[in-house]
Amino acid sequence: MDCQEARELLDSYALGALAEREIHALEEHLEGCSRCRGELEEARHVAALLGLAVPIVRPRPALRRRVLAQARRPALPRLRWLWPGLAAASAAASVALAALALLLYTQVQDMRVEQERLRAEIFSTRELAREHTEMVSLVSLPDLRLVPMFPSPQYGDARATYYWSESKRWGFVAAVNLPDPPPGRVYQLWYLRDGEAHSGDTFLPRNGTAYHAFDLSRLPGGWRPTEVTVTLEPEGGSSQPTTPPVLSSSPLPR
Amino acid sequence: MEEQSGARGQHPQEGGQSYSSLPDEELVARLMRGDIRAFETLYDRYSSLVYSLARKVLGDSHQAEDVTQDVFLRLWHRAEMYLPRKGPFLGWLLTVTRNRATDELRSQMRRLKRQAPTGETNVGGGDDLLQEAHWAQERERVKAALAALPPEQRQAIELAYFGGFTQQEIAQLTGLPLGTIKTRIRLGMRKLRALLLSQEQE
Repeated sequence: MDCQEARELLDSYALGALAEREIHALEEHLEGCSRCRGELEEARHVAALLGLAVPIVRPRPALRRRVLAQARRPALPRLRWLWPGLAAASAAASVALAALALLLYTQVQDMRVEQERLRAEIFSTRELAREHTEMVSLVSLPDLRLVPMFPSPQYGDARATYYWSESKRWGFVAAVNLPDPPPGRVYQLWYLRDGEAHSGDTFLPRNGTAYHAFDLSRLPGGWRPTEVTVTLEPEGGSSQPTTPPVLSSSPLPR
Repeated sequence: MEEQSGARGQHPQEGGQSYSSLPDEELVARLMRGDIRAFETLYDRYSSLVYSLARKVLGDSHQAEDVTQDVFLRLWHRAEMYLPRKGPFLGWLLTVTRNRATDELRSQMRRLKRQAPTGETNVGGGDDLLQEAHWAQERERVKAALAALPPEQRQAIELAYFGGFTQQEIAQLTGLPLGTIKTRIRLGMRKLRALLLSQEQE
């Protein structure tokens, strides 16, 4: 696809009106063309503004209570740190543990500095400290298990491992050499079994590294995935995978 | 935690500035550090907009509530998904909302039962909520720009954006050739771009 063909599609792409096959061809072009990417940013900006033109209806006050109550509920560990250059993500669990310990230590140090600087945020710091404690206890869980994840040929350099604990209903992905997704896209984790897919969550790598936790208790009760995959999805995530996997796990042992 | 947040509630201006006057990006930065007041402020600022957009796409208030809840909880738990260098927060929020809503629509195939939108944009409306809304001025600009489009271009764009239809589907819906739909979308978007982005730079 050349620039002229791409320009013809950009507006529809920004409006979300392209068919899958056109999307793939266009995204391939966008990856190598910064000028078209610039054009796309503009088109996206305009498309986003269209949302402002809807008739405004106020939601019920009950929704506010519901959302805030949910937000206040302690969630799964909010992990957004980097996995520091752990090239062999599939290395033995002890290596992961040592790296994690170092990571936690650094994080806690950072948190301390921040706590002094921002005393208004004592609550969040406390919450993070609790998450750290939780993390350490999770990593030392006897039932922590892992399977390697394999990249599709296009992502041949990526290395990833999926870890999970049945007892804590908690899983995480550690990935390295994972390129930034194309503009407007994010990575999304999927739990699969017999053609049924349940969304984990969306995530983005930083400097090629992703380290992201997932709350397994959001899966239907009694439902156990047999495979885990990662796909590229539009910002905000999808309810079902819409692209071929970037990473696929080997079968999860029972 | 409960009693302290209550006590703090009396002094929201601890830092010298009230939350409601902070810009979006600052609120997002605070929210990422776990500040629930920042989250509340963003909810109050944008929930009616998020809800209204979801409702316009889904045509159902119950589902629009679910999407609104989902969008805001995503913001709370995964605010790092918003990258400030890629543009203003409001644009990101609207994009996420629109994507979630059309995704919901597609996954449920509700489109089969649903009436196709007429392509009309509500141009009246003196809801006093809007007078004070943070984004009221921007909204007027967008409505004026949409109103300036030829109706057939506006319809094609609205079917794509709010209806979640692809170009091919719009051609089927309207019984027009695909090429015509593509042209309408392109011309319409070009005009919107000229109207909206040029004013922004002034």
